[in-house]
Amino acid sequence: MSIGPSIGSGIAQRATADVLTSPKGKPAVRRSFGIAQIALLFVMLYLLIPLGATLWFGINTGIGFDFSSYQRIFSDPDFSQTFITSLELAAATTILAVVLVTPTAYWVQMRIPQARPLLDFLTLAPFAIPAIVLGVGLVQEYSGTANPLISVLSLGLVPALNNFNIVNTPPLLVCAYVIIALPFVYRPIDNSLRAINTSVLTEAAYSLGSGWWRTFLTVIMPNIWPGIISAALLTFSVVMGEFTIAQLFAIYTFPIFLNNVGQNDPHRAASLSILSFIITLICVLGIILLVRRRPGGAEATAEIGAAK
Amino acid sequence: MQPQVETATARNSAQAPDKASGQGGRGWSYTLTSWLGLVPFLLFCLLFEILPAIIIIQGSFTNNDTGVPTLDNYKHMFSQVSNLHAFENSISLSIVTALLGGFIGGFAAYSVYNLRTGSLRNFLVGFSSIAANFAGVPLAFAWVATLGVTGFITVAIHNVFHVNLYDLGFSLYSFWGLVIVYTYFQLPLMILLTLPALSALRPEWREAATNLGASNFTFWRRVGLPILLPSLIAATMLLFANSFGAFATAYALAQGGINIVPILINFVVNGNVIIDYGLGNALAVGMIVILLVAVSFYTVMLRRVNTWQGR
Amino acid sequence: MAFLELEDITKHFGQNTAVDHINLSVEQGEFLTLLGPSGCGKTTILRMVAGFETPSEGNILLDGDDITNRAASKRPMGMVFQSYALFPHMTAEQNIAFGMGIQHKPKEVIKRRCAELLELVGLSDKGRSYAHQLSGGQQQRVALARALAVEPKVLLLDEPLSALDAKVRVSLRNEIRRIQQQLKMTAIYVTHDQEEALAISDRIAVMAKGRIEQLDNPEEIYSNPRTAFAASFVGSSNQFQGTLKSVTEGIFQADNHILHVPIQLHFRDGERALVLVRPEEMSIQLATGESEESVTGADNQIPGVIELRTFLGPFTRFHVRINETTTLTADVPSQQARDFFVAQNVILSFPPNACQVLPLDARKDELEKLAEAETV
Repeated sequence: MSIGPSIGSGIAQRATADVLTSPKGKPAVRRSFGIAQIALLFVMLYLLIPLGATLWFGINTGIGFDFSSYQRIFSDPDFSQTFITSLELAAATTILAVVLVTPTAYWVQMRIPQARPLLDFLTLAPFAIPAIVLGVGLVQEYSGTANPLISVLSLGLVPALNNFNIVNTPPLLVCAYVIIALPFVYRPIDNSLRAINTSVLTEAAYSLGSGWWRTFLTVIMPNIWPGIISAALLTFSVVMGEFTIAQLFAIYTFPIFLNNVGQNDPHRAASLSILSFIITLICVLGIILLVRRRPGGAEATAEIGAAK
Repeated sequence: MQPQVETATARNSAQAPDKASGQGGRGWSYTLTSWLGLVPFLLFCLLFEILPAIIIIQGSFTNNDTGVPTLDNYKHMFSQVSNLHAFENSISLSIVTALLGGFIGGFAAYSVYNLRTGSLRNFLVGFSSIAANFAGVPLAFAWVATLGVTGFITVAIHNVFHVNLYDLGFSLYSFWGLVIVYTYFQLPLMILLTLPALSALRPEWREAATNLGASNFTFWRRVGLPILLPSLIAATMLLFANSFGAFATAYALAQGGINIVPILINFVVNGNVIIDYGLGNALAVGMIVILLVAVSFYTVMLRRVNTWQGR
Repeated sequence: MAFLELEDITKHFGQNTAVDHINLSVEQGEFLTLLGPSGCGKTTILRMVAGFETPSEGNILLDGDDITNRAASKRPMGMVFQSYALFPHMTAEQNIAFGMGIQHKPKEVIKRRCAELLELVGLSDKGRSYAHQLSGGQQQRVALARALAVEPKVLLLDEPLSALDAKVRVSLRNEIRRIQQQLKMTAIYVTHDQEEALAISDRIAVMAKGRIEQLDNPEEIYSNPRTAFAASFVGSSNQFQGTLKSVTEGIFQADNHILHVPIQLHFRDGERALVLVRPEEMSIQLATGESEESVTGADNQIPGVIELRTFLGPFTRFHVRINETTTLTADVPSQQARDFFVAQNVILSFPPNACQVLPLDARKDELEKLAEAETV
């Protein structure tokens, strides 16, 4: 189920989040069949043909059409084991990322807007620190060898953590995934917070006696649901497909399984790739359906912005 | 009597904001607790984002075995031709796919933007989202199924045109093969990045230009494209970064066979031959530097867009 | 033949008729305002004149030429938008020069005109500034200069002041009027702000639901509104529904009140009608103890109780309850309003010729709601 930044950085995910949660503009409609339409046609064909070819390839072993490849896939114990592992990692990452980022984004918005540039930097940095680089860094950081510079900079936390021997473990992998997910978790949530009139809602809640956490949980969160959904589904989809760091940490996840299968049996790999595509499809569709249906969500707030 | 009191109060209220550190008069303890609320997040970033980068930079200047500071890693990196080739390949791969994706994707985005039927537009946006996220290992195998030695298209071309692509020298497992594969996610990514920029093109600008006598061509040449240009450049920068940092796709496609920097780093750090963290760190620093340039350009262009949009 | 003629102009958007068979003649050099609530079709008319919408029916003639089907870029009109629409990547000067560049004017001419126009709108030192460096009012002035630069035959303004602060709105509307008069430019102005319309127009077309309710100069529209909608949209008024008992003697009965109104020869005895009285025509005096209304003297007099007193600066507004269902509004100069307070028994009086008599229109209620929605 590889999707997303097994290619390296969360750029595609952040772009997805932006487009699917942004208000739909009303363009001036133009007719004509020109270069733009040809380009679009080309792109659609370019995207669809490999999918069709993969589908065909997966069930065509050269001799005839054989659906047994799917049967073989599902009966493979490695499949279920790695699939479940990836599911657990994905769930853990999604929860941790949302729990870490959402209150922080709200806090920054309300209490220290001057920290915003810092947050923008921290959530943009993963674009410059792709997965392979991050993985290599983490492996060295938590390798257990003493490093005075790191010990000092981390306020003693890294040596403390190293006592638990966390290198190449799933918990560390989850933390790495959260960092990778930062760009496309922070962005939609931040956009949602900006789209609703956060400060006004908060002040209204305070004036009625609500404390910080109650306001956050009962007033703010229900209203930024589109942002949270996008962040969660994108994170989930990305972790299900992350290969690079899992490979560095030698943790047997689904994409690793897929790669092993593929090096030996491209037909089976083709079928698994179709499966991956379907998982991505479900996640993206999930975002589209859940985000659109919010009443007074993205569209309504777009009007407010436009009126200014 | 009265005027004196008034001016006194005026002076006091003028002083009060100065005391506070811009918190509307709430003072430094408020600011301190405000920053404390960020601690969990900042700590997390420190431990798992900042420090790995620092350790890589530090490690690049250190001899891996002895722990002594040295420039040897960089000397090693720059002296071996294969290392330089890796950078060459990575950079050209990223530039080529960024330009291809940028150009074709940009036009395609304009076409999507202009679609009359909302449902078709939504479908295309959804499909682009999925395709942009479909990368890594499964994409590699999808292309093997398409243009591999026994891939669907390869076989089809053989059957129809009686020509074997691979005999002609084409190989999916080469630089140009990788270009073809990477373009698969660069194209929809460009669409996703350009659509919001096009939406930000206000219809009044077009109407104003038309009202002042501009033809379609003139509008695009003098108003539309110049306004879009920073967004387009920003998008291309992201496409470059996206391609430059990619690892899994190339790895699944050719294991170590294609010489690009991420593959090379993995090879010297995780490979079966030699383990050289020093060189790996130096290569990683090279990657970070190049990516920082791209991301900085991106940020600068975005700032220009925001200023013009009055945000 | 007037300078700009709209003949039977109609526009349908699907099932909705936004503009309903409008006929309008605009004289050269005239400042005509289209005034009405949102959705009345005023902006649609303007956009059809500009060429951004095509009429479903009807013709547009400019100086004798039929321009109904001419492309927007080929029409000699200059348009000023509500959102200014300055090109963000160009300086103020470059914005103004844009149209002239398309007309292939020589560089020196462009430079000179830009300087002239910047001076005309009072922004001589802002030529090098970009839109995001200018305030809303300044941006709109640049937009005005840009529209004038192409020497249009008609200037079209689409609610140009709506996005601005109240004070800027007042000063800028005077500027627009001044410039229009100085250049003797034909202008069509769209707004929903009746004060604006009254202040700067030569003629106003009051519109509702795609039709023109009344087309007249500001004074006429204010003092002699021809329909109930026009009366309530432009200024406010007290309304009495009732029957004309005698048209020759001008006697009108509404509920329990008999009112003296001017002679209404174009009505018949017994016909239902609507009588309107502007709040500023009402004078207020303390009730002397008589609870009966008296129709003594020429003035109408109605007793009531002050329910609400609102101080509005130059004048004070009294809401006076005259029976269970009706309150009247009286605007009194604040100097004279000092002695009146809530819960006092008072008598409102107004002369017969302060009464505007209108036919009771079936559409009245519908439009009334329109007008109310606007003011709320």
